[in-house]
Amino acid sequence: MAENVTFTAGGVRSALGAAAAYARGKAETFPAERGPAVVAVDVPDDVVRQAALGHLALFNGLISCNMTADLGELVAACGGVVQFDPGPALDRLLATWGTLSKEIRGVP
Amino acid sequence: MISPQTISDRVRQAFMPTPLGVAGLTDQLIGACAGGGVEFERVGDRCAYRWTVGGETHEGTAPFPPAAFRTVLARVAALCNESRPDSVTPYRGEGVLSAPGHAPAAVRVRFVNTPDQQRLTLDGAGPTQTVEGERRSESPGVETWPPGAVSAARREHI
Repeated sequence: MAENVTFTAGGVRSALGAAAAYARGKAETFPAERGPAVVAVDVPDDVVRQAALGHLALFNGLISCNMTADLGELVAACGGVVQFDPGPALDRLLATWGTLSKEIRGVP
Repeated sequence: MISPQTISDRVRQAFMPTPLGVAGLTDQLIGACAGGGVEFERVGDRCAYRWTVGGETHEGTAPFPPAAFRTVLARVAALCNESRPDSVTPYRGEGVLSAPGHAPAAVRVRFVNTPDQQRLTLDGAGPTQTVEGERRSESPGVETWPPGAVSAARREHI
C-alpha cells in the first residue's frame, strides 16, 4: 500500500528528474498497467506550502531552509518535489481532491 | 581505501545541514562513501546504516525517518538515469556515480525503493572506476531553482 503521494512542481527543475521520465520508469515495472501517464493537478498554494514544510521537517534540520520563505524557495529546498506524507497536508489534499482541476497526460 | 574510522566520521559529517536541499544531502552521502562502503536500510521506523571493519560490522542510525530516506533513494534513481538514461526504474537499480568533491572517485550504488523495502548500498571501496559515458551532472543548487517559479505552476503527480 502506498505511504504517500508525490508531485513534481511544474516549471521547476526536479531532483527526481522529469515527471514523464519518472512515469516511464514506473511503467517499466508494471507492464500490464497500459503504459505511463502523468496526472497534472492544480493544488492550492497553501496546501503545497503545508506539505513542503511537513516534508522538510522530516529531515530534522539537515536541509537548511527558512521556514518562512516564499513558496518557491520552500519547494526548491524540497528539490522541486512536493511529497504528501501522512498528516495534515495529505488530509487536506484528500479532502479537496474531488474539487481540484486535473488533467491526465499521456507519456510517449 | 580510506580507514574505516574515517568512513564513519565522513558519514557523520554527511549528516550536516545543507542549503542545497535533497540533492545536496544525497550528494553528501555519496561523497562520504568515496573510498569506502556503507549500506543504508530501513529497519522498522528508522533508517540504519552499516559499515564493515575487518570483518566486524558497525551500525548507526541516520537522523531522518524512512519517509525522508525514500526521497533520498528517489534522488539516487534520478542520478543514475542522468548518468545513464533509462538505466534504472524508480524502484530499483544500480549504477556508478562520480562522488561529489572527490573526483575522479566513483561510487557504485545499488538501491531498492519499494513500500516493502528501502535499501541503498554505496560502494566506493573498489579500484577507482572511470565513469566514461556516465558522468553525472552537477547537482543543481537553489540558485538554479528560482524562488517564485512554482506559485502559478501545476503539480505533476509521479
